Amino acid sequence: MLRQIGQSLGSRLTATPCTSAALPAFQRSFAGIPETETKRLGDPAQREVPKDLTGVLDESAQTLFLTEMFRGLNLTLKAFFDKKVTINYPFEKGPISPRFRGEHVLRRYPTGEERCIACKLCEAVCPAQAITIEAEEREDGSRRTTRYDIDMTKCIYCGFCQEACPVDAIVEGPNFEFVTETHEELLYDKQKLLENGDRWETEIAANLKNESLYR
Amino acid sequence: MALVKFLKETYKRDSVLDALKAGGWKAFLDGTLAQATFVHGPNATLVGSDGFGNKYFERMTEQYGRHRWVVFGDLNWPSGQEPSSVPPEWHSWLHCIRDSSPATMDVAYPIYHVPHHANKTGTPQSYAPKGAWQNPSKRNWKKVHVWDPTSAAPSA
Amino acid sequence: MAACSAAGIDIPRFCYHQRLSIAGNCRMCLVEVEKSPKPVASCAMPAGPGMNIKTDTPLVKKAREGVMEFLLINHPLDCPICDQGGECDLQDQSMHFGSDRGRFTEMKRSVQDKNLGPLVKTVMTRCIHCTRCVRFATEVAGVQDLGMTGRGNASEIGTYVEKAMASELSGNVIDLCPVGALTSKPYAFTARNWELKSTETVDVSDAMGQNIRVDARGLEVMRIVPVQNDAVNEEWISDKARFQYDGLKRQRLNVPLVKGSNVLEPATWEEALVAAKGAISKVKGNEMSFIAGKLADAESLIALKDLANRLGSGNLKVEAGAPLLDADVRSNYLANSTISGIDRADVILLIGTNPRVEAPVFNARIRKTFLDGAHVAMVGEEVDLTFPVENLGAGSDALAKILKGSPMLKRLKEAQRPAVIVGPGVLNRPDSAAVLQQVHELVEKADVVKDGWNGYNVLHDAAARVAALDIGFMPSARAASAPAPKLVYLLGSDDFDPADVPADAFVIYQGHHGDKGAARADIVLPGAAYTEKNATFVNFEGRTQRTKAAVPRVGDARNDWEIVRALSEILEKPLPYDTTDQIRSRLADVAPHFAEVDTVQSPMWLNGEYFKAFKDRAGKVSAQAQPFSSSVANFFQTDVISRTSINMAKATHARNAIPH
Repeated sequence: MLRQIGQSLGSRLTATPCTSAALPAFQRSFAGIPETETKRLGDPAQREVPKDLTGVLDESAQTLFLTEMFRGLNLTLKAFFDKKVTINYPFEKGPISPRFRGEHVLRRYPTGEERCIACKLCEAVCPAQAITIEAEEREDGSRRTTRYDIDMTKCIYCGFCQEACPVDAIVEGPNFEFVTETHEELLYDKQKLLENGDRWETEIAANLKNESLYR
Repeated sequence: MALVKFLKETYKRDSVLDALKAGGWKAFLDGTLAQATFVHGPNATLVGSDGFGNKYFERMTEQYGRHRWVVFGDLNWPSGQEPSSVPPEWHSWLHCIRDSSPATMDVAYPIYHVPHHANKTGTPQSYAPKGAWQNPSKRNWKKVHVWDPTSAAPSA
Repeated sequence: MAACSAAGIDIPRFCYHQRLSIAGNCRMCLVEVEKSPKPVASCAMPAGPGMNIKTDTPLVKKAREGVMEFLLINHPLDCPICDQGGECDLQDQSMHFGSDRGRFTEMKRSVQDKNLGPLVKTVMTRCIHCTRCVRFATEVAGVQDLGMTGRGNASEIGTYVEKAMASELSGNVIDLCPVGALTSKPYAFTARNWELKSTETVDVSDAMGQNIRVDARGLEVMRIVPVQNDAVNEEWISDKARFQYDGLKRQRLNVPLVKGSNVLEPATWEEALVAAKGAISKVKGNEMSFIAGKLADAESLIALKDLANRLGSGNLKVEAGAPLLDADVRSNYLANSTISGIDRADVILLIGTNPRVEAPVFNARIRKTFLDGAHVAMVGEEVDLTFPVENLGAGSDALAKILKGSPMLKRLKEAQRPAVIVGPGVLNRPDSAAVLQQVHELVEKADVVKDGWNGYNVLHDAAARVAALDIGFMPSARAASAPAPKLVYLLGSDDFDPADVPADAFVIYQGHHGDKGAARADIVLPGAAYTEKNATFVNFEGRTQRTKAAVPRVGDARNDWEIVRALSEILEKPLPYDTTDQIRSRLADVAPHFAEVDTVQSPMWLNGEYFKAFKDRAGKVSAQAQPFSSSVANFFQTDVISRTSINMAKATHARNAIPH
């Protein structure tokens, strides 16, 4: 009799079904037990009142020792000691790909000359019409922009502009941590974009080199 | 003990109690900081550090994604602990884009390189487009030059 | 090719243009003709009976792909920096008809850029040698500046000598060039065609009413291109019409100005109109004078005339020219043959007009008629009209000589459709009545006006003049005896005669640019320029045309006729129209042709009665001996917009630098 009690207690603690009768209702329904049985077993009005001593002792032990409670708490305790998989954000960062599309950047040639030639292909292809360009002939006769604005709040970070650019001037860099406190800080103009580029060029150039086979 | 070592090193005090008083107590309130330092920290290799004081650690026995982390130079929260203070050279290593870092490879900077800075939002030096109230320079929206009645003699 | 397009099939081409001679050198129009061993250039082969032309066979497809491949061999990869991107024939046709890959792996040739002046930008590496520009310059513009030097791979289009294109129609090569070799220098790099909003409207740089399309991006006009209208300007526009748009951005009036102690100060509309009322109420009717500018539209002219008449003044005039022209008989001041009718003339006599600077596109049309075999002669100063013209003399003595009996008179008499074109050189003279009397005698003697053909044409130099004459914006009979005006209302007038505006007069200026008029004015009311209003203009053949607003008005400016209406309201003499439709019906009441837009109605030729009136006038004045000279000294700077335009200033410098 005690063995039986122990067995059923043990089975509850380790959550392994020995008999369908020993499982509480919700576990039985998940375990594929036919409904007729579960219904009968789950409904308190239809509960089989144990008649024999084993059954009575079983049930009293459950009530007294809060078996289900401890089963749940045991699970939690187990999880407490498990190795956590959550990435510890500010200190650990999620792995990203070299193709990651983040903050926009206007690049330059190695000589320092800005790459953008105001062809307006990025402005035309942008699905959100986030890019605004005005252009003019520069004093040296070359074609350059006087105004290149990207509204980062309109932008959907699709990467079409970097795909459209024939000279790889506008690219989406790997930076995604450019959150701001005010809206107007997210309306990037040419000066900001170029400055981004000057800072991030080492990483972007390495990423582009990785991707050059696929672009 | 890693905890003691961390506290002593980070707060540059000789005894644990001083370190705690100097700000180490925050590590017990800040779970992520605790994680990064003395919970996760033991047996990690210090791969390198950068100009901002950030230290970069790696522990290859960890699961992928948690095996590289940074401990910022400025650990005050919320004004410190700036994720954007990771410079581009370390950014690619930290985000597992590539395995090389300034510790293993020299970085070739372009001639127009500008030193990195963290996100300046919320500070007076934050970026503002021309025309915003913080930015003194205004964009010239006027496409049309208006006639100035005080200008020189009329055209003959 | 024309037969195929009439059948609804468009054949690709680069060198063929319907208004130029056939070159057949691009080979893109190759089609397969049954029973022909080789594909045939459809632009050069005339369609004959029984021909079966196939445009969809594999042979034709291969031919087109091959031609395209050849064209792209030496064509630079300039699409992102080329202005023609988005509207390039080469781009479009290579997408439609070209193959998807090329086989060229060698070096492409490059060509030095030529300097054609400050208006046309050249990147000759992109040239595909279609020679459209060469044919245009030679045939239509008449200046043989462009040509092809070299052969084969080394062929280059250029002027060979360092010379800018000395034609007033030089901007049209920009439209003709199928690639980005010849582009607009002022427009360079500023916009792409897909971001521009186009509005078809009418140009007012001269009296021809050239149909233009204004391309604007937001608030500013980015460029102006022609609209095809076979009746007026075919497919060409003059350089002034094309490039003066940057004057619309400079020296603009945007707020009403009222003269304070010594200088004009900004004011609100209410203050300005009240100040105007104050000035007007101090002056009697016959002490007011109203001068309209060259660019005034019909609606504001009728509004001002109505207001002037209600105030008791008949002292109206249009500035700078034709002071004695009578408005009674319409055929007396119009080009009665109509602009397209000149194509049919066989003898043309130009009297006192230099159409090359007064209406360059009309000059191109006369040139076309000359090339078709017409004989052209002129009386006036010796000028180069781009085609050989017989100069019969310089002044009215030459006219007298013709009248006495000369080969020219005989020619005119024997011609089937003779045309006489009288211009500002005659109309602006103080003795114009006498000269016109001579001209009318000539018209009578030479049977210039026949059944079904009226060869008497008058060429004007200002866009507002014909509309003003139609409305009757002329000095009334008593205006000649009126005292010196104490108040002058300038409706956009900046070329007024200083004698018309006395030094002590109170001047109200209503216009859109700050030029001489605004500088002299005591009150300035800002109006709208021609690209900013829906207005009516009548060109010198009597065709009513309407402009459409392409860009919004500047600052606080208002529509011109609405300003006059508001002024009338403040003066308690309200004009009877409040909406555009009402003022246009008023115009139609005055002259019915204002309601018939874009058509010409040939007016009746009333001889006899009319000559009598002229005889009376001429009796007082006798013709003077001075030669007839054109009213246009510098083609590029004639009205206020072209004077403020930097493009026009550059063009003037470039033109002056060309050795004559």
